[in-house]
Amino acid sequence: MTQRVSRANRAARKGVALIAVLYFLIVCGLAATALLWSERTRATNVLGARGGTRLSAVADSALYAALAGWQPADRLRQPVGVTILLATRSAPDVRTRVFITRTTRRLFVIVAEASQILDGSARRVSLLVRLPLASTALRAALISAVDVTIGAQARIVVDTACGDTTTAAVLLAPSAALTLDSTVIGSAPSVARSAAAADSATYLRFDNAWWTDLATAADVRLASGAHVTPMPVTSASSCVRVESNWGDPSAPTSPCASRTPIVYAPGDLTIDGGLGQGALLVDGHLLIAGPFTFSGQIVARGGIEMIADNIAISGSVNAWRARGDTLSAHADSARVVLARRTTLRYSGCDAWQGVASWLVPRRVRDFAWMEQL
Amino acid sequence: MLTRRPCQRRLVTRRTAFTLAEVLITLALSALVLGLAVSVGARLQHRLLAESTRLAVDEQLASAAQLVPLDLRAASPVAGDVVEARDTSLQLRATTGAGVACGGSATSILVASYLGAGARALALTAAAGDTLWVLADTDSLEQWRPFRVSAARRIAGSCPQLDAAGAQLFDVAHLWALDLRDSALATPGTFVRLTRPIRYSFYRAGDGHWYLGVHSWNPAAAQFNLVQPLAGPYASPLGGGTGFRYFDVSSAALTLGSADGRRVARVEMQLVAESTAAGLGLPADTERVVVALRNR
Repeated sequence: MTQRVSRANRAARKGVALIAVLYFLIVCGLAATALLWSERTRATNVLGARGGTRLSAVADSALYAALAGWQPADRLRQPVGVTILLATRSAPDVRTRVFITRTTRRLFVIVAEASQILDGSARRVSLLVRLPLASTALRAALISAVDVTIGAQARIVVDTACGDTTTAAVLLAPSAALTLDSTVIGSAPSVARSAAAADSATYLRFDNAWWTDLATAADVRLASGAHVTPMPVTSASSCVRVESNWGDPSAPTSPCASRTPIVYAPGDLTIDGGLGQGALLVDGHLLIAGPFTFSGQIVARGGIEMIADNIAISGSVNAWRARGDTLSAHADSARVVLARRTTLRYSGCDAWQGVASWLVPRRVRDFAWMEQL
Repeated sequence: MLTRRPCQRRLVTRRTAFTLAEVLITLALSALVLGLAVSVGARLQHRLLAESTRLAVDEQLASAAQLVPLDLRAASPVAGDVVEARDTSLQLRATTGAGVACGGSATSILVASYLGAGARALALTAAAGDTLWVLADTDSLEQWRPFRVSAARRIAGSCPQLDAAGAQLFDVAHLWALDLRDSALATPGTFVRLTRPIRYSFYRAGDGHWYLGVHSWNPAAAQFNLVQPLAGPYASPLGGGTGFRYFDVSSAALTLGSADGRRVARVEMQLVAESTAAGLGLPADTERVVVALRNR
């Protein structure tokens, strides 16, 4: 009986310990949760900001690396409207891609994107750059201030993929005579005449540089009266910069594809065949006597003769009527003769890649950099 | 002989009361335990309040630190994008979009806007009253020319100026048709950008606290809308803590109030948080955002 009463009393006892402990536990739990949540949110914010900043920095770095490693020849050869994926790099956790789009003849946009491989977060930045290319007043496959003779097998065509247009394949000075073989294969080339074709600046000025500037800065300087057969020269998959190597226009991936030299011949020059690209400046008479493929601009001041089969020139061929050295002038050689199976194709990109190889792009003024968020 | 009665025995065994000493000791111990519990609980509650306040303050600091630089980084001070630079306000010509001209006519330009990271579409918001800047690029000229947009609409189409790979950079499937008040003659392939005025300012709201607010532009009324709070509350800028500071290219501080926007090369925004829970004893969190203007 006594035990029963005692148990009943114990069960009925009202204490505060349980309430106090529960209160303590709840407040303690809430505080711990708040502290944890606060620290977690703070850590997430900091990590997010750090990750975003890092991605932006990586993208910026890739952007300016692309600008620093600008390949003039490749970019000038890139058709207008075309986007290329320049580089993809993958670090353990970040992937970087760089695109270059050519939107007009002068304007390019470089876009770099860095993305986190784990969570897919990414940053993208872009930079507008401009090549200080002057618009050539005259655009044609053949521009001549001297008489021109075109044989039956010669083809002169126009390619406007570079974004510039031309009115004619052949542009002549008003006083220049044109002799066209009546048995020409296919349609005859379009011919126009312009007073500008009789202007020395058309032949001797290249953007902001003059003939003498380029001759002085030439990568390859030949002897007067030289006979050459230029060919790409490589060693261990690297392009060798020797005088007989005028680059390789045949394949964009070849080691010498980016070599676009300015070649200067102070007198007459004979090309016995070969392959090359860039700018060829001949102060005298230019004779091409063998199969020759060239991409770029050729300017000769003492006449041009192409007397071999399989000559293909993409760019522009210009013939001025006055040699640099007037003492060695040959009255009868100052004309253009395309005698055999020759193809001249006008391409603004190819024409300017040689002389423009020394041009460096610069940011478009005022507003060039932008973040794509 | 006295015999113990059963009722007396029952009374003795039922005695459950405490002695005075027991009661006093119990009361003292209980008071001690309760006092400790209340003290710890109060501290925890204080800590809880402090952490929640700090969390809210951090969010306010972080949101302002993320929003303002977006408009500021791409601003071109030399082009006049920094319209007004004061210690409590900053008025910009914010770039709301950019892209490449895909064609159109003299008074209507089709624009393929930039895509964002991961080739996702950006929320370009073109509207009447915006300014369209067209890059005029000739032999002798390289200049951004402004034109007022009279109407803007999205259209489906394509951009013949760009190849298929260009779709990774520009939204060629959803063009913007921007009608202009004047003839622009934008060459296809050239770049354009859209700008709209925006104004950030620290202001004192009706509750007496200081906030960072944004004034959006009302093209119809050609004036700024009323300020909308962006983040806050912050400590008063009058104390010299919260506010904008401007520096030129040589890191020399520009005089406040008369800062020539074209000379600004770097903007610093300092945010000093104001704690809404007075007496918490929290240190005033400060965030300094440094933005170097990229288009100089």
